Amino acid sequence: MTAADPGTDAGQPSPTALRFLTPEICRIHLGTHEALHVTVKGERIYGGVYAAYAFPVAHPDEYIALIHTGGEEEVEIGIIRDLSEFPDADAALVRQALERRYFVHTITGIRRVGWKYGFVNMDVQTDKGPADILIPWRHDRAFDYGRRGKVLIDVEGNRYLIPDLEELPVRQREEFQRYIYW
Amino acid sequence: MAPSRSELLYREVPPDLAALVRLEGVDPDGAWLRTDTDLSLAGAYEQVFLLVFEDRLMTLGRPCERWPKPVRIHIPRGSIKEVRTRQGVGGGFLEALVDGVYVEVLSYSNARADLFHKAAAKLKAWVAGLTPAVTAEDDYNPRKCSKCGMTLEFKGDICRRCIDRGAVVSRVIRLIRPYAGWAVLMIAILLAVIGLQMVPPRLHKILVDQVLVPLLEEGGVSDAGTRELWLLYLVAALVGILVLRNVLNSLNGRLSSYVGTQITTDMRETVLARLTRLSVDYYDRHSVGQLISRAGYDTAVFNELVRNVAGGFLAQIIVVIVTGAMLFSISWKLALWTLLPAPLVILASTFYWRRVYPRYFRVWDAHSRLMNSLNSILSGIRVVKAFGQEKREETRYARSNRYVRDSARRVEYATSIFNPTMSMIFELGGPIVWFVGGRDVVHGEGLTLGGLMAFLAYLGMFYGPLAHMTQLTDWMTRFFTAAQRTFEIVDTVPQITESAEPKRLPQPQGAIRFENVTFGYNRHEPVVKGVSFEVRPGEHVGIVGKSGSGKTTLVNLLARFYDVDEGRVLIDGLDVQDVGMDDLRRTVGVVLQEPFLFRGTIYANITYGQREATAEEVLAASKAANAHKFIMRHPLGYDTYIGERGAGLSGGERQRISIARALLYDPRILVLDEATSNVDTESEQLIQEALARVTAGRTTIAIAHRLSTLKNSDRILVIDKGRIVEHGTHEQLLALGGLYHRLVKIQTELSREPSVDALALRKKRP
Ligand SMILES: Nc1ncnc2c1ncn2[C@@H]1O[C@H](COP(=O)(O)OP(=O)(O)OP(=O)(O)O)[C@@H](O)[C@H]1O
Ligand SMILES: [Mg+2]
Repeated sequence: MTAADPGTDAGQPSPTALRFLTPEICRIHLGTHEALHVTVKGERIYGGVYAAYAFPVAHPDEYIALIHTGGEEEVEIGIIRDLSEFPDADAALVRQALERRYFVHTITGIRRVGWKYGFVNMDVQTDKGPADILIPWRHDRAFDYGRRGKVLIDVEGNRYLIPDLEELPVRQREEFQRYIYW
Repeated sequence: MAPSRSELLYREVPPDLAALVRLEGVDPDGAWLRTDTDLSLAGAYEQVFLLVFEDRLMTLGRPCERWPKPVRIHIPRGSIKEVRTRQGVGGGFLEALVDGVYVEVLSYSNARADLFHKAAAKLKAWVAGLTPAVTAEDDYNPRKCSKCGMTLEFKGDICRRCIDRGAVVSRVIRLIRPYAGWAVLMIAILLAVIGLQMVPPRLHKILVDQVLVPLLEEGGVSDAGTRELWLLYLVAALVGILVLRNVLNSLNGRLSSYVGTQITTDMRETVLARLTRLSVDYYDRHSVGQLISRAGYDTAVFNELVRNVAGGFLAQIIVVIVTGAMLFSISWKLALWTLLPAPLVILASTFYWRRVYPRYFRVWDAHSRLMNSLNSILSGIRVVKAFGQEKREETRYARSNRYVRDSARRVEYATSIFNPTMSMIFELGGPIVWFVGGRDVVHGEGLTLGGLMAFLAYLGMFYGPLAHMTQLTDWMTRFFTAAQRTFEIVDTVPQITESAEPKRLPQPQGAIRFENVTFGYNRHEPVVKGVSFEVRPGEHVGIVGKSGSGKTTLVNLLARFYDVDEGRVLIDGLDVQDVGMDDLRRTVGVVLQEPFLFRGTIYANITYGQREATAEEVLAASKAANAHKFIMRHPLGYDTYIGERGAGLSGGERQRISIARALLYDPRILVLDEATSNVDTESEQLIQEALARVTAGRTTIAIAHRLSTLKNSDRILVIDKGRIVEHGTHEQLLALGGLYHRLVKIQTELSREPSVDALALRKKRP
C-alpha cells in the first residue's frame, strides 16, 4: 500500500493515489444477503462492493477494480493486479461479481445473417445458448473490441461479443462481414 | 387494487413455483407487485420472480444447486432504507440498502431495464411507507413500439420494423418525379437514337444483296449506272443517319447532365438540411468523417444515375430488346443458336451478386475510415505536434490508406476477371453464327450473304450493350449502396422536434422554471436528478459545482439541445418543448464552454447570429466583451481573417469574441457557461462590469468555477452530482458553511483572491 496522501479522511483511500489490493492487506468475503464485502486491514470493512475491469479488452484478466457504492459517490477501494495472488475462495467471489456485472453473450458461431429495414438479423450460437438477434445497422451498434473482435448491441441494449473474428470459420466470417463490414 | 391490472408488474407466478413457495408458507397472491426478471444473480438466463408484499419483498426461483430453496432473497420492509437500480454492463441490478450496505436483490438484462426502473420507483414509495398502485398504465412504455413491441431508440422514434421505409427504387423515382418532363424528352430522344441505330444494318443488307452482289440474285438492279446512283443514295443516307445520331446524342448528354447535377445538388441540400436539423445527440454517436463522406460523396451518385439511365442503362436495355427482335426477324434459327451461352451468363451473375457485391461495402467503409483518420489528424494537429506523434499518425494513416487499397483491390481484381469473362461468353456467339449461318449461306438455305452480314452487325449491337450491362451491375451496386446511405440520413428522425402547434413567445420576459427535471445522456444514467428552481425575469443567477456535476447539462436542457426525461423546463410559463424553435433560440442565447469560431473575419463571427447588425452595434458589443482593444491591434481590425476554430487567436480572445457574439444577439436570457474561464482576472473584472451594465434587466445565468466571477449574482445555485444542494446569495451560502463555503475556502487557499479571502476570514472570526 502506498503511503496515504496527506489531507484524505482517515479510513478512506486517497482518490488520487493508486492502490493495489493484495491478500496481505485485504480480505474478500460475503456479508448480509450475500453482498460482496472487502475488509482492508487497518482501514474498514466495505459492504456492497462491485468488481470492474480496468482494461476489459487489453488485459481481460488483470487489473480488477473493487468499487464501493455506499452513498451516491462511488469509492474505489483499490485494484487487484492479479487475481491468482488471492486465496481461491476470495478469487471465486470476485469472479462471480464480474460475471454478474458483465452480462455479455459471447458468440461462438453464426448460423445465418440477414438484413431488413436497416437491421441486421442474426441467428447465432452463444455461450448462453442460441439467440436470434436484431441489431440496428449502424457503426455505434457494432464496434471494435481490440484489434480483431467486435461488440454488437442489439435493439434491446443487450451485448454480444465476438472476441476474435479470425477465429470464426471463413464462411461465417464472410457472411458476417457482408453486413458488418467496418 | 386498481381496476385494470398491469400485465408487467402484476404477473402470475407459474403454478409449479407457486406450489413450491406455498409449502414455505408464502402466498404469492398476497403480493401487490409481482414481476419477473430474465437473469439470476449468477449472471445466467433464468426466470426469477420479484414479489413485494405489504411488509417484505422476496425473490423466487426454481430450486437449483446454488439456491436450493425457492425463496432466494427475503427482506422485511423495515430493514430497507432505500432502493435503487445500478447499471452494469449489458444489464443492471435492483438493490436495497440494508444495514448500511447496498445488497443486490436481482439482476436484469437491458431488455428489462425500463421495467425495473419503474418497479424501483414504486419500491421507493413503498419503502417510504406508501402503498403505490400498480395498474395497466404502468405497462405503457414510450420506448417500445406500440405495434410490434420492439425497443425504440428514444421515445417518439419511428419503428423501423413497422414502417416500410420504401425501397430505394421507389425513393429514386420520387426524387426524379419533378423532372418528369425532362425525363420524357430524354427518353424520346433516346428512342430516336436507337431507331436510327437500327437502320444502317438494314441498309447494309440492301447494299450487299441488291447493289454490290446483284448478279447472284434474280431481280437485282442490273445496270451499272443505276447501281452507282443507288450506292450514292445509300452512302448519303448512312452519313445522314450518323450525323443526326451524333446531334441527338450530344443533346441527350447535355440534358442528362443538366438534370443529374440538379438532382445531386438537391440531394446534397436535403442531406445537409437534415443534418443541421438532427439534434445534438446524433453527433454524440456519429463521426464527422463518416458524415462528410456521406453528405459530400455519396450524393454524387445521383448524377451518375441520371447520366447512366439516360445514356447507358436504359438505352442498352432497349437496344438489346430491339436488336434481339431484329435477330429473330432475320433468322430465328440462328438467333436461337446465339442464346446458347445464356446459362453461363446466369451462373456468372449469381456468383457476382453473392461474392463480389458485398465487398463494395468494405470499400466504402475504408474510404470513410480514411476520411476520419485525416479529419482527426488535421484537426488535432497541435496535439500531434505537442506530443511528437507525427510518425505514429503517418503510420496510422498509412494503415488506413492501405486498407483502402486492399479493399479496392479485392473488388477490382474480382471485377477485372468477371467483366472480360462475361464479354467472352457473349462473344462466343460470333463464331457460332459464322459457322451455322455460313453453312446456310453456302448451302443457300434461306439466308443471303447480306442477311448474314446484317445479322452479324446486329449481333455486335446485341453483345455490345450486354457486355456493357455487366459493368452496369457494377455501378448499380455502387449506386444502391451510396443511395441507401444517403437515404438513411434523410430518414433519421431528429430526437428534438418542434411541437405540432408551436406556441409563440413574441415578447419574452425571461422567467425560467425547472420543475423536477431528470435527465441522462444514456438511458438509465441520470446526470441531472429531480432539479427544481426558478429564476425571475432580470435576475442574475450563478451556478457553481464540481466538474462533471451537471452544470452544462442544465444549460443544454434550457436551450433544448436535449429533451428532459422527466419533469419540465419552462420559460415564461411555457414548456420549452411547446415553444417554437425560432422563438426559443431568439430568447435563449448561450456562450458555450468551448467557444467555436468559424473560418472567416472577426466581424462575420461576431455577427453570426445577427447578420443585419450595424457596425456601431458590433463595436458596442465588442467593447462590452472587452474584445475591442485586441481586435484593433490587428492591422485589418474587424476584417481580420481568422482560421479554422479561431486559429490565430488566444483562448481568452476567442472567449471574448463569443461573448460579443452573444451580446449582439441580444437574447432575453443570456447563459454564460464558463465564458470567462480563460480570461485574466483583470479583464474578467472589466467584462463583469460591462455585462452588469449591458445585461441589466436581462435574465442571466452564469456558470463559473472561479467563484469571484459570481459574487455579484443575485443568487447562486450550488450543484452537486446532478442535484441542487444549496442556494442563496454569496453571503448566505458562506454563512451556511456547506459545499459552497468549502469551495470558497479551497479557492482562497489556492489563489488568495483578496475579495473572497476577506469574506472567508470574516466567516471564521464572527
Ligand atoms: N454528450 C454526452 N454524452 C454522455 N455523457 C455526457 C455528455 N456530456 C456530458 N456527459 C456527462 O454528464 C455529466 C455532467 O456533465 P456536464 O457537462 O453537465 O458537467 P459540468 O458540470 O458542466 O462540468 P464542467 O464544470 O467540467 O464543465 C458528466 O459526468 C459527463 O461525463
Ligand atoms: Mg460544463
